[in-house]
Amino acid sequence: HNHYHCLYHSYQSNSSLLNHTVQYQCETNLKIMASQNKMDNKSNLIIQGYSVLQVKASDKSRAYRFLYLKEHSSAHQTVEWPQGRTLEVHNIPPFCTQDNLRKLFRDCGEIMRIYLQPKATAMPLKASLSVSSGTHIKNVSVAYVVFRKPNGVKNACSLTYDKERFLSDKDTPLMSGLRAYMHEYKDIPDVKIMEDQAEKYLAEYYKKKDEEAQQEKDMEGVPDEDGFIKVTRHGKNKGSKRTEENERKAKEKLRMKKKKTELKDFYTSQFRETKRKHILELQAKFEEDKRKIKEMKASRKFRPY
Amino acid sequence: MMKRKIITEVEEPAKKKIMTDDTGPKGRKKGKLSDREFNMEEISKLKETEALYHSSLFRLQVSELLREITVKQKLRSRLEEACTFITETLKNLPSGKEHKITDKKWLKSKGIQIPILERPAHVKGTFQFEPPVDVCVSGSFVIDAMVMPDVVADLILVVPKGFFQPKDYLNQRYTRKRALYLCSLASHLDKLKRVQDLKFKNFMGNPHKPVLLVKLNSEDDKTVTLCLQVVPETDTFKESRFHVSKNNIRPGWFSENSEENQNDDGTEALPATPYYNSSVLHDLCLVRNKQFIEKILGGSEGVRDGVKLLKVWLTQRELLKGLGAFSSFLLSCYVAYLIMSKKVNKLMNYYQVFRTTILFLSKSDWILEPPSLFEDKPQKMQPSLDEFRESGSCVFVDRSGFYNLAYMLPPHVFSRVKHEAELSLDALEQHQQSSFDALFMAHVSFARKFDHVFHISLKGSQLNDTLEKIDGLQQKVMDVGGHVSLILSQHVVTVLSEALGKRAKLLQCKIDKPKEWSKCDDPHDDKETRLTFGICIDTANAFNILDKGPSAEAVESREFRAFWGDKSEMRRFKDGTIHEAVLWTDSTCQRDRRLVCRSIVQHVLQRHCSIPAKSIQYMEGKLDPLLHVNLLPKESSLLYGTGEEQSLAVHHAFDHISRAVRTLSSLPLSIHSIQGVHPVFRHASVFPPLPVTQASSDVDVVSGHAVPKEGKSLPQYIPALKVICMLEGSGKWPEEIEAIVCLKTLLHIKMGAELRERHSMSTSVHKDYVDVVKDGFVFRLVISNTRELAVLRTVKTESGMIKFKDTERSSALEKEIVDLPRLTHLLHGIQQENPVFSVTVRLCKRWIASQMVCGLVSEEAVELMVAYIFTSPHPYAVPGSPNTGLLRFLYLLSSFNWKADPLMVNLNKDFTDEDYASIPKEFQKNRTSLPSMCICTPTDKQGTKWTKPLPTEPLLKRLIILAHESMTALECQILKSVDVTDFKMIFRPPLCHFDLVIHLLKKANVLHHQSVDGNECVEISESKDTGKKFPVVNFCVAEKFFQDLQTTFGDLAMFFYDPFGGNVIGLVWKPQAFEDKDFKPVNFRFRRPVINDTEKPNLEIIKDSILDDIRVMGGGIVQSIVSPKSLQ
Repeated sequence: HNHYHCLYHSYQSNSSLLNHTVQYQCETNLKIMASQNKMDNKSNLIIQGYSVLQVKASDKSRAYRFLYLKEHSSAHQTVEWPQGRTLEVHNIPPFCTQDNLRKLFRDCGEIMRIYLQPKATAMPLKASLSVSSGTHIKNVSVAYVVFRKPNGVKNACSLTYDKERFLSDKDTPLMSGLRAYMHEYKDIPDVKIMEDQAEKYLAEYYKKKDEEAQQEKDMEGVPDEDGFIKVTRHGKNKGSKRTEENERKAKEKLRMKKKKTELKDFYTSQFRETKRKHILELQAKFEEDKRKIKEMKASRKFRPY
Repeated sequence: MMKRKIITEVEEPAKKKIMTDDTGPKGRKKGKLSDREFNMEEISKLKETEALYHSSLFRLQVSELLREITVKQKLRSRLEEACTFITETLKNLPSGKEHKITDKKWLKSKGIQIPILERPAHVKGTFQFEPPVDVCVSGSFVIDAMVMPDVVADLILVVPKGFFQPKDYLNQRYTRKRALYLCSLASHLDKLKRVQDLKFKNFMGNPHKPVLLVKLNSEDDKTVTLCLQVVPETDTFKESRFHVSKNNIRPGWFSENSEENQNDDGTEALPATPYYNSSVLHDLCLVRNKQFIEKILGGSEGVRDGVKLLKVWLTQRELLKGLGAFSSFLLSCYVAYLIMSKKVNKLMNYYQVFRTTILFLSKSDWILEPPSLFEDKPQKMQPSLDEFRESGSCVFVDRSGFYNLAYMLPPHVFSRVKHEAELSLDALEQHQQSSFDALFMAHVSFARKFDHVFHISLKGSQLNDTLEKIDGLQQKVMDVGGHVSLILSQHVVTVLSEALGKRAKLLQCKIDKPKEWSKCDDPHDDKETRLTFGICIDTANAFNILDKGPSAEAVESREFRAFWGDKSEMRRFKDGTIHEAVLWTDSTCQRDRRLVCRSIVQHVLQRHCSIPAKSIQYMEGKLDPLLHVNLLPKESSLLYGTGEEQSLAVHHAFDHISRAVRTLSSLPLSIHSIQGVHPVFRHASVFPPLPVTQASSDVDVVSGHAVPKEGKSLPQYIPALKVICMLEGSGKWPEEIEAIVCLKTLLHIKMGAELRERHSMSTSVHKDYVDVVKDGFVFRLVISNTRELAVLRTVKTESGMIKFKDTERSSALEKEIVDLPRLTHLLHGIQQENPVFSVTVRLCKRWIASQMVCGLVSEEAVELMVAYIFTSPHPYAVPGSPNTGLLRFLYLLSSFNWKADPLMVNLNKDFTDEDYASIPKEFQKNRTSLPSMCICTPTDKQGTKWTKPLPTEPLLKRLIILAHESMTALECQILKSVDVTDFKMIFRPPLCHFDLVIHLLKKANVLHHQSVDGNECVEISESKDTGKKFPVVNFCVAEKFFQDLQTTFGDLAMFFYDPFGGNVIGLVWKPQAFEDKDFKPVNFRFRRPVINDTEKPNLEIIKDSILDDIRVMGGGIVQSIVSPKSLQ
């Protein structure tokens, strides 16, 4: 504690700290690793099926990032991510945009679509309506790049490892920091579009609801194949909703019923048992208090000063 | 069944033997065994506890406490041995040579400094050392009521009658001879091998009455301390000579005009010297009183332990020791008095003794109805009660009937004791687990106790001015022998309590800790007199800006004018009458009103005591700058004190909005309630929003909205104040969350359109909310319905059963539409009762934020902790100033046992007795699954709502350390303040604990004016017209950047930030993030491949690329990233 006290310091201006910026060090000895990888005699690096790519954010960057590239393959075929033409890119930097990736892979082939996601999935994440529109999917880390032709993927996977590559240049600047926040704020939603979308969805929803209700009504009282009639919330004998609460209540009722029929303290042993229980309870409380005291004692809670 | 049992036993005796060896049945047998014990003794004990003690837990706690403070037998026997040793030594001392009293040469040769102040120096008489006729051990050691840790055995040395000359009662001769006697004792004892150290101390802080502290080596190499007091034999002087209204210090002698007065017995005309007289009487009657008390108190365990508890209770309140304290001798006398008057009997247990004593203390009045130990028939010369009262102190007549036991106890200290007794009784009434802590464990420090603290420091010449100014003080100075602070404090308290009147509930001068000094030091340096006062204010009256006096024609008006001086003016009041009145400030600002007491103190002390304002250090208001914002232009009509007015302005605008929303006709359902949930609606927003001003040149316009323009300075930060509009329920609400969201969007659109068209308000419609501008504030209206909550919670199991289960989204929604409005409502209620709640809670939040842990402890948790301070203030009264509020908050945070107890905030007093039993029980049961801190309210009995998932255990630990350090630092600043004290110190946390510190660019930090050291001005416009365009809302890039850092790198590091204008972000790496991971897609983030020894590729984290990412993400925001460790 005493040490800590002297740590409160009076205000220091930033300028004095300016000179002491951290020295970044960029040691890239992966070249050695690339040669260690015996499978490979070209200068690209493939580990467990993932091609590794070194990328810098811009020419001002002092550190490399490592992208892991692989052809997307999944048991579920999706229209959005066609087999053979989709490239999975892992560990893209958090500020990476579609434009940055387009720039990186523009020499590999024509790119049709790019999906940016926070994690790897089997199919594209749906943009949910209920998630606020204002928040972009930030914190991206995996990208799916769909090429027009399959050899785009192959070209990308065989990109050389040791060439210096940049995510940005003059034409595709980095969209990050203050500029990105400003840009984001400019994205003011159009009320008309919002209204149309919402109305459309609601109309569909109510239509579906109506259909379901109609169907239920039609099925009312009609036995199914096995001859059972479904109890619904409409009609003559309404069933109560099957909720947890209701179920609990029903169980409780049963238990009470059972309890009522049971004879209490009938046998001497039963009587003795209840008495014993009572005493044990009292004792438990006392023990509990004692335990608490012991705990307090251990933490020196009784030394007043 | 019985039969079968017997048979088996008969058949298989061997099995039985095995059975008993078995642990199962044995365990049960044990249980039964303890049952029997429980039946016989424990049950009777439990019953007794219920009837005679507070509660079983309380009883256990107290007995643990007693065990802790009781003097162990070993130490006791050590002390006993030391006492006999010293007694033997002292009795066999040889008589000394005769010296004049003024002769100090022989003392100097022995290296001893006389322990009293000799002013005037010359005095007649001679001194010759005689060994004591008797040595006896005093009170608390005899009745075994000493309290650890500083155990001292008092020895009383009875000096033979022949030591004193007949006129030694006069002119401090007694005092000086007594001091010389101690000096020669010291010189003798110094020669002993066993004596380690000799020190002087003032007995009960009385500067006339030094005692000698002897540190002795005992046989087993431990040291014990004895305290030697000197008293004359009982019949040395006549008691009536020291009658309170007699004079025993001649003014002629004291003012050094003549040699000792000739006409010795002309005492009637001379001013009384009650203080001096009592101080001699104390010694004269000591043995008699002591024997009586020992007889009364001795032999009863309950009384003994009760006295010990009372001592702990007083010590925790800093009232037991020091000058003017409620000393342990006084305490023993009072308990003896209660026994005498049959209020306490010897069969009572310690709890009853303790409770009865504080009960009678709380009811008693030691001036109007003083207690008395005197039982005999009154003697002829004995002083009457009125004569006792005249001395100005409290009265408690002793056994002899002449001596006032409480002659050193000033009325203001007694009223403090009384006040504490009342509070403690109140704490005992509350059936809470914390009453034990409040009574005996919590240290009630002066700074935490008193709302306003101020110091008076007077240098030599100033002191003389002051003394001359005050009538009749010279005389008293003579009585106390030049120790001015003694009477000055009393005078200041008297004047101030008249001046403050109803504003103050309690006024006390701080009792300094008694000091000890070595035998060769001079304790008296009177370069500076320093007094510390505390005021407990009554918040209902203390902030009145006007003191209304008597009607101008009334006779009393002259008196009123005389008291207040030229501050008093004639004023015409609303009802047409003209009164004398004093106006303290014409500002309506709450900050200025809180400082009215300061103005009164300064004015009155200047007027009545000639103490200049610069000699008064008033601590209230010193922390206000932390909540203050400078406005531009300065002459604007807006006042920004500590922000209360801005909160009110927001409330005012909100009333308009809520009226407008209620009359909306375009909504298909009616609005059930409109509740603001932003902290400003519960007066808890650290910096309440200011009305909008945005220079149009700095923004672009996109479809009616202003947007920040690149290359220009960032627009002023305008928070959106969230308001929840609950629509009434209807069967037509959809049963699917997406559909509800769509429906709400449509409703928001309608709401926005109508507010814009019919009420001509500037609106901005979004999917989830509508922003509305009113009076320059932006309100964010959100429509909601409880159906939404139900839908989010509903889960359909495979068997078709509908279950309700809290999901992350549903609990977030529940907080927003149920819990927050309720909390807002309740805290608003606390603010209505306590006008300082708002400023306190905001100061506490400011502190939390400045420690850069703001996001890690939820705002609401902090608000509830502050609410606890107001709803359960024990052992204090409800705080009356932000300073005490902050200190108590820090104390609560750092001393509360978060691991073992839930904090129960009794909002609206809705907790039942049953809750107080069941909540801690449940807590104990589920402790492992509960968060690190649990704050229960009547509607959240588990107490997890606002403390899950953060703070985590290590964070809480850090917070506790920070709180503790800040508290000690601030308390020290308040109590020992000098002019240059920097009160912002505790708001600047150390940065060196971080791995990296990210400095932000000043231009990106739009809230810089709110930072601890920021003093930029904020421009505000007078016109509330914001033009056609909708202002930029909720745009704080620093905050956004901080949040992005957390979401992106949250797995790798923790980030710390002060949202109120903080210009740094602290970063601490999480160690587990730096381990190498297997080569798997889930581990790819921020890592690079490496080949380890086994030729298996691994993944290693690249710090540099993370730092590079931070720099790219913070483009235009980050200035530099530095390592604070590299600076060291």
